[in-house]
Amino acid sequence: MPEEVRTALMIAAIGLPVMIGVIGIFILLARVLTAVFPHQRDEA
Amino acid sequence: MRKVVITYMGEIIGGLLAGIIALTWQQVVMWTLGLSLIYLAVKKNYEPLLLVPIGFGAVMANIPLSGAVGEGGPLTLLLQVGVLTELFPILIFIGVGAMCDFGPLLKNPEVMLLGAAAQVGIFATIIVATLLGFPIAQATAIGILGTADGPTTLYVASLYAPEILAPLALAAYSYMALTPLIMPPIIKALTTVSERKLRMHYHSGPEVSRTAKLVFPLCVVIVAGVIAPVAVPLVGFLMLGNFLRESGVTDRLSQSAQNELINVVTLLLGLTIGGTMTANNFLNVTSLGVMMLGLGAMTFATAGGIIIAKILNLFRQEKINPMVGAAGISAFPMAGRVVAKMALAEDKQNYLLMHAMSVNISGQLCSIVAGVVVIAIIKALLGA
Repeated sequence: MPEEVRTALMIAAIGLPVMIGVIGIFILLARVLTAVFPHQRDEA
Repeated sequence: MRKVVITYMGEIIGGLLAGIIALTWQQVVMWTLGLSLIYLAVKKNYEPLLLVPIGFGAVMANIPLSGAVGEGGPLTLLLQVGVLTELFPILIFIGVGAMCDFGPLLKNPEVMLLGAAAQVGIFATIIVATLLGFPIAQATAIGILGTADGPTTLYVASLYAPEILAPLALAAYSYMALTPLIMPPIIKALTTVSERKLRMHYHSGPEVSRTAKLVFPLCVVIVAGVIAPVAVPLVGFLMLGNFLRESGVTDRLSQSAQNELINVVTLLLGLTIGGTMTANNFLNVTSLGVMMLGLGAMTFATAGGIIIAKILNLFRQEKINPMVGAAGISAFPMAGRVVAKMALAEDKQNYLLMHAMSVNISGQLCSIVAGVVVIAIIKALLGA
């Protein structure tokens, strides 16, 4: 297998889980922020 | 005396005709391409803010002996100062951030999974591009086309493959404009009529507080920056724009970012890209390959979103209409609108717009995350 293709496969193998992990952190962050700073009625 | 006059006249006529003598058929092809872009923008309203300057730049760059390009030419100067330094794409991100309302995303953050799913196309395209013989740096830049995000594509291209900037930019922006034509056949091929008719309920739920909206961009910059310091320019400028929008005390800056800043930079960026579209740079097999792979990347991305939505449905009680997954590509707001329109075409009571737009906005954020992840990995693997 050519070196370039192997690097591309490695980028996909590392990149996908890392990307999903970072998105997971953002989801968690959004959940925490909306829990810590709930909407107040007088804000509307 | 007569001989001197004849020689002098000859020089004048030769000078006047130099442009015509130097004209090549390739330059005429590029004029046609530039004029076609202007036609599409003016007549069909396809991304006019970008295609007009790109088309005009392409015409100017392909006039024989043009002073607009080459040493000291304004288009070349703009390329060196604004694009090769990654400055223009970064400045555009301030405007994009100021236009994004992350409220729906904070309200229902799980939609980010669908946004992430649509980025699968990036990795598939990088692999296919290397299989076709593109070097890894160019393959990476081509793969980012799968985000359907123009500024991110240009940012990565200016880092790793400035030599194919012109076809990449053209592919990114023309395919974004053609989203209403590209997405429907892919969606129809991958979904059944009953899946397309699937209704989704919108849970209004409590609103998101202003404080949460304010703290979110700051936290994202810090978290993303710590994980991948290389992400700071991309994420930082996007979130700065969003903070200007949400702070409530910088309305003038937010309005400027959404209007004047993004308009001026888009004009200069378009002209610069057009300026790189010289016949020598553009009319070759590489450009054709980039355009084809760009279309493949969009297809992979759209398909990725639909397939992951279907997989998620296996584990969910409340099903997702798989079409909504396709809205995870970053072409905002076209992708969301296309999905909503298709849902209404199948069932006049099926209103998916809110869901599709939430996923579309999450796609905007996820495309940047994907771009940053790819840059960080390339940096770690190749030290580039």
